[in-house]
Amino acid sequence: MALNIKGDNISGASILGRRCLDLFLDCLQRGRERSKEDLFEQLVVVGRDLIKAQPSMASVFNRINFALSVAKDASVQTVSVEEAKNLISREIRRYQNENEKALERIAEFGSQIISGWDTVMTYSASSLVEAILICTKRSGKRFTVIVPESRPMFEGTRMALRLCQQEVKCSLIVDAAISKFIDRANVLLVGADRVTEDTLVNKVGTRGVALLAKAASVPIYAAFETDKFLPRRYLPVVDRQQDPAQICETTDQYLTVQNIYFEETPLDYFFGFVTEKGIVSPEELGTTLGEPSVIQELTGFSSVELTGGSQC
Amino acid sequence: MKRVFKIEFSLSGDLAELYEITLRSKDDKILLGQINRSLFASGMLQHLSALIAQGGLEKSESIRAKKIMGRLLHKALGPVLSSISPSVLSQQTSIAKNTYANRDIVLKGIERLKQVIQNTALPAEIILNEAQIFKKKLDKFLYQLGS
Repeated sequence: MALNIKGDNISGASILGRRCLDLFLDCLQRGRERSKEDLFEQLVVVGRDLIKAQPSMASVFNRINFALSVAKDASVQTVSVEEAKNLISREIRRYQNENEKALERIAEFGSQIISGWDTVMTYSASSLVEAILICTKRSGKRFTVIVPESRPMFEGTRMALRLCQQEVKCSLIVDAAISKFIDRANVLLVGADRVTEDTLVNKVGTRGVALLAKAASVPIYAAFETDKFLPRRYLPVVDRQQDPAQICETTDQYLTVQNIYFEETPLDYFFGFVTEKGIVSPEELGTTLGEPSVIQELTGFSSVELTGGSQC
Repeated sequence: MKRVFKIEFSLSGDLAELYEITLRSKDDKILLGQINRSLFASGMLQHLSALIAQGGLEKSESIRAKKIMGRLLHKALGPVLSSISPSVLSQQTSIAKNTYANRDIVLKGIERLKQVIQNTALPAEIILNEAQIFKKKLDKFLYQLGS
């Protein structure tokens, strides 16, 4: 199960977070645990494996944390394993419904920062950015989008094609052309895989695009659900080496291929953040995000454990 | 709390020289009192946003200040924007290609800022940052136009 999540290098954090909870529901249906304690232990094993599969995705961590917190409470509050499973499943579905509503709110809030004449530049692919752009289009605004292809997995190209199906006008560019096209943009909008105390973790290249936007006086916004906030003390930010063949299939003893997917961008590069609670400034973000409460079973991950020893 | 303040002070040296330049560049239709008030207001907005960002104000005071700043920006920027487009942007006939491109950027910027100031839910810092960005682009365009 965790292998499917680990092998997914195209989906964004929001989608992977949702899939993790679906996997939990699947475990609850299929599991044959005899006691509530066995059930909880089994869920902890699955949860830790999923976190190790996608260590940069805060929504994976936070949603597993939510499910395990519910499971822990359920083992005290319920009498039988079946009762516990029913309670956990119900709570997970409730969380997912709330998350769906949060996405709709983000799409609506986000559409308020795009005007009818805007040229929006984005980077990589984000289901939230996509939802914002589609919502803006449906509100009747005539904006255009510049989408870099986002090597090595070309998730930007895929997003551009999906946007075109929704009649959103897109210009697809190679990543190296960002510096040329940034002057034409009048807003940069990106998603996020994770937000820490002082940085936003997203596809590698985000920091570069943000620096170019700053230099070209282009306002920068990021869209994310508040459950993407995860301070470093709960989980270190890691750079895991990905498959070198995604960049270059030829090997040579003198060649080292560095294929990493994520990087951190300081939060103070951004003008504002689009969340389900509204659009907030960097100064207000701390208050908006609050302090997560992490169960003990999910503490103590080491960088080596998360990267499998392949850290850059 | 006192709601009306009468402020009197003298300017000398460099500050007086800058003030003189400001007055020389002012449009005759704009009253001196208006200029003085807007200079004072923009300085205060800059000062307070820096103070808020550095945590120099108590939380309740900072929330109150942000609300007032937002209100002030909404009121102030609207008339500024509607005064720019017709007078400045339509008079030039033969300008360089990149100046045309910058004019488009300014026009887009006006539309963007109009939308931003209409959004009453936006924090004051965001409106202020957007306004500053727009001003940079407008200045760049005006500089190109002048040269």
